[in-house]
Amino acid sequence: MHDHFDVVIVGAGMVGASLACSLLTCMPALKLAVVEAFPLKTPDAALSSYDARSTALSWGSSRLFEKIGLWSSIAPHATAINKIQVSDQGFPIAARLDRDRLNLAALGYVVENRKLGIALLEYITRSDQIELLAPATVTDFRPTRSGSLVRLHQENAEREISTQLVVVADGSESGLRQKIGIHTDVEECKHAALIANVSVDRPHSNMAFERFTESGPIALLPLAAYAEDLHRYALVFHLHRTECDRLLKVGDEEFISQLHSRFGYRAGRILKVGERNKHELIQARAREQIRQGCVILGNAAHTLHPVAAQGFNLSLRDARCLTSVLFRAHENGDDLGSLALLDQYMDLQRQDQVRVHQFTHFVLELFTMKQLVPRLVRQLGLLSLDFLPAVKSEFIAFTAGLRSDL
Amino acid sequence: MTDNTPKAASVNGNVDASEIAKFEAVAHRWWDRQGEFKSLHDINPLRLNYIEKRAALPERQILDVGCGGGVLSEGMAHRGAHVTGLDMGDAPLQVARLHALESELDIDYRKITVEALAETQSACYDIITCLEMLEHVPDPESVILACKKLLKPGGHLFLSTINRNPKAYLFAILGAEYVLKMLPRGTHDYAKLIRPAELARWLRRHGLALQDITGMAFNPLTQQYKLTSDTAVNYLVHAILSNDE
Repeated sequence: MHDHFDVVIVGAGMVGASLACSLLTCMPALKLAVVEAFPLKTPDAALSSYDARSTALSWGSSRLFEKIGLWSSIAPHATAINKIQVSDQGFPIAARLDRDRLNLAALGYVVENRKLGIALLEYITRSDQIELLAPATVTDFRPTRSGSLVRLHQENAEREISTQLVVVADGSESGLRQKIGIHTDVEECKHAALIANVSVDRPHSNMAFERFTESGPIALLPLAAYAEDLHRYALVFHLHRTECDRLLKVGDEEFISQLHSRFGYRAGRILKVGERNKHELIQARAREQIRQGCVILGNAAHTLHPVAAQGFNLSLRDARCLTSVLFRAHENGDDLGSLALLDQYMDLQRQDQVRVHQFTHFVLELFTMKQLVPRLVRQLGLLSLDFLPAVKSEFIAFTAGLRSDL
Repeated sequence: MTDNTPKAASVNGNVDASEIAKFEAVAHRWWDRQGEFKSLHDINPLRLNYIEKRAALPERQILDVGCGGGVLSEGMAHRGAHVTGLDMGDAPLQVARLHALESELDIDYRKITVEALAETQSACYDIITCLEMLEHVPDPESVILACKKLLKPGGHLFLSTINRNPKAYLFAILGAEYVLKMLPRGTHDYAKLIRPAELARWLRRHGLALQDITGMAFNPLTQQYKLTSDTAVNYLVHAILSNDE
């Protein structure tokens, strides 16, 4: 006899873990297994670092975490984005997106990945309904007449578990997705992102910046204070690969002056720059996201360019939508892995996914334009962003993730 | 029965050597998703889901007639089916065998016509698929008769082919082969295309109950395929062998 689980989630990253929490809140009787290749020890909350990496959550995502019952443990570590200033190098007018226009508590939040991870992991480990299998890898996945068999390699032993539904959420390089023969279309970008945390000489006042420059867009997201570094931002600096490599190597002072020459002093004077990392940019989409007894989720399904900060937020909406579709089937005692059911999920989320892809693509095109005419278009776009309420609301709604809030 | 017996039912006769040669020449690029077989890869998830919604695949015995390089066979094997693939081209079969090794799938690929196989076995498959092949053989009805012999009672037959009418000529031949160059020129011969009514008549004649006919359409702007009620060009057919056959 195999151990049987209603749902097996492969990958305990932010998307897989969020889905586990979402399913559990909605269906407390569900028996879940979460399989993770890396050892998962509850990270020491006190252990922190200036260079910790963060994620921008849209307003809609914060509401989804609220529904799952996780927001109260995330909120203390979240920095609200109340305003976003959008500007263009060589163009005097900047547009401002403001939470007040939408009567929201915030446009979004910036949360350290680690803090988000701790909140999710604590929720999972508290539950008796979730078995956390880590470190463990899936060595085989076999559909059978009554569901699927998943073979695992855990602590030098083989184990077989059975389930109705396998959710593949093990990231953009998903090994399981490849193993079951799902092809992915990958689009390599000419740009890379240089990521670092920086400190400035004045308070951020919950303002985020997005600036289009000759070399690519630069974003600054407000972060919580760290020790004596009170005014901290997360920097996402889009550059050509070669330029990125060069700026990774230069000294701090030189780097800060390069940054100032492109970004100006709109956020204040930069006093300190932390560890710089390069993030390769790709856009990827799996050819199939559903099969009988199987769903591909998160970066394994679609990897988005981070320029519009939509990737995780979209995956969270996917996870929530999947939860509600599974909930209805669970209520009726139906098979959670039926293709007809998963088709409903895909029908509901397809439009959202396509729209986000188009939006990201549009922002990317807009941000990397070099010629005079497209630049004028972009600047006109900026102007209309400021002067045409409809355009602006649309842009904010997208940024805040209100487009398809459940 | 004599009137209805397909004309080329001789066991190894239902093969067009020039058709086999077309596919031999390009077999090494069968799994190149940007090459001649791009559209085959693009429609594969769509037709696999069409099949799986109508017949469960896991642990079923499936015969894939005209399997070529194994794109559909592998898709069904990934979904838990026990697949036997038939083709008359040496090169495509070799490609299929090598690729299955790479994919760690156990698929039995055989060089034999479905008519010849039906001489040695009967009523042993739960599902038979014969997609994008009927328009390449001299006598499609003989293929259907052989499939019927090989199906278990209540078994499922899935077929797909191209309609024969001016629109199909425009889209499937002029459009796909000459304008968009999605397929190599000469892939399809207009006279060999098959109308749904003809296919339905052959199925009925051999005790196969027609369940569904669904069209497959390509949108050149979005480069996407979708299932549609319009069967004027490409179409899929599902039939079930009645239990008392």
